[in-house]
Amino acid sequence: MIRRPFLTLLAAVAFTIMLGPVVILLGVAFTAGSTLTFPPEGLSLRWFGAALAYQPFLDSFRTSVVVALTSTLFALALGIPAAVALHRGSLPGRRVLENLFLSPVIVPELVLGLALFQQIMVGLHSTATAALVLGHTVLLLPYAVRVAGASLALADPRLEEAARGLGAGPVRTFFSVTLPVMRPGILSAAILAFVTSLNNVPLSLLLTGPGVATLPVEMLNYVQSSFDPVVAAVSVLLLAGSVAVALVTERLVGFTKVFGR
Amino acid sequence: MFRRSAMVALLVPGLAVLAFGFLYPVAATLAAPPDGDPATVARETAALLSDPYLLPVIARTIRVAVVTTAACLLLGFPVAYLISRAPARWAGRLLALAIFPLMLNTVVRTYGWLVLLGSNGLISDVSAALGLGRPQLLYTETAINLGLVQLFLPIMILSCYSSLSQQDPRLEEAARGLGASPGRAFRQVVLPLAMPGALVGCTLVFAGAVTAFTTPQLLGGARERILSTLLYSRVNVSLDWPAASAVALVMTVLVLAVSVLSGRLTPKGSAQ
Amino acid sequence: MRAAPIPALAAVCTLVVAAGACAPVRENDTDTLVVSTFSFATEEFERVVAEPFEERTGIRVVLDTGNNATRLTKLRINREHPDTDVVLISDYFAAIGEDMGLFEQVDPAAVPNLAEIQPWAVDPDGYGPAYTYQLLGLMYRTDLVEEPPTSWDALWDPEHPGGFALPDISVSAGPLMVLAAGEAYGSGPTDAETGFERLAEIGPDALQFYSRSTEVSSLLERGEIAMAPSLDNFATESVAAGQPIGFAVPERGRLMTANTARIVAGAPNRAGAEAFIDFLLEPEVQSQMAEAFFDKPVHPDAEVPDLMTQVSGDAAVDPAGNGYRQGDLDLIAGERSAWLDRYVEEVER
Repeated sequence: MIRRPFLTLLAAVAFTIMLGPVVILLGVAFTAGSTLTFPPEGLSLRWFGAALAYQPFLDSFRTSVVVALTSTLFALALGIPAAVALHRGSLPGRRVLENLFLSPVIVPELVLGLALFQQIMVGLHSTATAALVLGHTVLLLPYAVRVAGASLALADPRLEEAARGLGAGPVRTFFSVTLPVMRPGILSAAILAFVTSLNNVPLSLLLTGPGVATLPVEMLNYVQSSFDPVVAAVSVLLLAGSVAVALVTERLVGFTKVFGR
Repeated sequence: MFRRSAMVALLVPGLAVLAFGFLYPVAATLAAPPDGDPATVARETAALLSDPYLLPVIARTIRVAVVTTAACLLLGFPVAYLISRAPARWAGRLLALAIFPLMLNTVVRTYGWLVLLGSNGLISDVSAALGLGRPQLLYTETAINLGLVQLFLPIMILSCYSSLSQQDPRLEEAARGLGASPGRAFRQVVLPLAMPGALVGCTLVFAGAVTAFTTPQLLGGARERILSTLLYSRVNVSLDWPAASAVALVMTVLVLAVSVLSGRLTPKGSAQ
Repeated sequence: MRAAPIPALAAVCTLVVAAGACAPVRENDTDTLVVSTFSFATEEFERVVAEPFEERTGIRVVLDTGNNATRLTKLRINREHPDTDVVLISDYFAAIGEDMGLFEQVDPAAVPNLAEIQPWAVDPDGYGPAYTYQLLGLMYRTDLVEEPPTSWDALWDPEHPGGFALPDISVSAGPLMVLAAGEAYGSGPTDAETGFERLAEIGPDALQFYSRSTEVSSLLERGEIAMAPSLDNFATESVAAGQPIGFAVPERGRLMTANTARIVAGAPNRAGAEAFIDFLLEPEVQSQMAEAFFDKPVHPDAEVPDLMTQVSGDAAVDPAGNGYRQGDLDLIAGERSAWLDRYVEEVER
């Protein structure tokens, strides 16, 4: 069955490296002991209880979800119209504008986080939450524009022309013809954006305030000062959530269709 | 088709947010942080690029990025290839398995290495049991490389898969049918057509490795500083914002250079 | 022009969020007190200090947490429109802030407890006092080290078991360690030259240079290192958690750092700030802080849990009487940039 042994070996090494540390960490979450040793000493769910009782994790999870939801919505609300304008608008300087919308990808997230901290939080006295929403929206905007643009490209412009020819205004055409075709693409963009925002670390690192921090940042703080399995338990919980999201995506859109052809 | 003014109106909110939330803050921070001025930043940048104690940081950053990209390519391409040639049922599952780590944040993905590489970790225990002593694995450049490879393999796999899955597997079979050995068919048919995907993958991984923060922070610490951890240290720990801006400038230029280079190398007509 | 409503809606949302996001400027606000404090043990701090103060005075306490450097920078940036009243910050950073003119002096009449605390804790220039202190010593794993160390020599001993870590120059323990080495091996606690020389000898062998004090506990717990210079409250915390940790008070080179309470220049709620500082110095509150996060009190009537004297010895109650003193803050603050560079070049090689 293994027709290409060398390639298979490399692939096996790849999977080991990708999954090994994660599997180990997940296993450690069920330990009955109090240190992060593998194999775990005994099995217990106590660390899940500890994780769910630790207030900073709960608060930061709420912050993360709120920020992720808000910025995903904003990014889509800003990015989809922009994509429409870029791909259907026959505007001069289209390339430049498109690159402008994709430009946040060029700047390292840590730098953007620093910039928002210095200019928006300290310079304009904004709250951390506002800076987070702004920063995440900027971060997700390229995804929204890019994916919306790609799925717009799939939509046949002749359908739209036909609708216009039948008397529909541009707005009606957009909502009745274009948007439904774009739906799978928008859905993938939304899920991708939401997950990206939820997991973000470097951008959110400096944007903290009294009682405000995102979950990954809170986890990083915890990990740098304690070495108990609480973080492992949180990881398992997050993984369970991610698997649920992945299954939903698979059902609705199909994985290979999202990433390949 | 639509009126020009309507099109512009669609763009304005997005552009406004970009300007306010991205262009203005980044430009201001890189040029003139709140307690510095362009002259100070320029001076700090010059210092960064000439100081014999800081140049190793830049060198290490680039070295780590190169090693990570090479390893990801070497290990990730086979995975992408095998998935693209596998029966559909397997392909979906394998792809999901390769991609699911992307759903977890970097703290989770990196933390497992502390358990593996620590002085009392799994590898250390195995090594001691084999009589090889306990090597120092954590807080080394190798640890950072391992962590980053783990982090970016899924991205490399996705990029390569994207190209490979578009190829018609019958091309390869045709080459075999014409008498080429499996290796030759692979080298002369599969590889060239997979180049665009691999190139995109390399660009993403290199840029990602240059700007990664969590993994080098947890696995390298202060001993193995790279640009991102140096930046964080200058902001959060040394109170030195102009110096931080200098590091930010160098990082941004590095990523920009990689993107431009990648754009130049991409064959026309295969833009993603 | 019939642009789709969504982008317009999004723009409006953005503006609303942006407007609501700007924190209101506080002026003569006697109902709220903004306290900038350390980011560790915040829950305990709220329970033991913030909430009781609120109950007694009715003033709402808002905490702004973070590390010393960031909080000081925020103060500096907001100098024209200060939004913070009280800053709880380590003495090293307080000295830097003083040079920058960020604080105002305290009226002794408004803070009567100033007269009761240990004399060294009162600031000679009239700024806010030290309200707790920590001793610098050698934190070590009792099960990895054969004999409990008695001096800093253990770090230079080539036979020492396991790895060790050193503080980064940016943590409180960093400059303190330089001066401690100077006192132990040189001419005294201001002999930074000897300090740097000796640290440079062992720098290359250090496993890590920790930039957060809590990192040491983690490194020791994991067995990555066997010992590290650190502050004793972290040792006490580990011992309380059941870890095999010990704390060695060195024979020579006894330096300590203190947490100081300062009033921000131009504070919106100056009266509240003074009341808060007085509250911090009360024996009952000091005892509570000692019990909750092992910070040693400056008020002689405060009670110190037995655990602390077990871990740190008599210096936990009477530091000055046991040869401990604060680092020369003027020296440390003045030489800050020079030492930053020197440490990177000579020690962190």
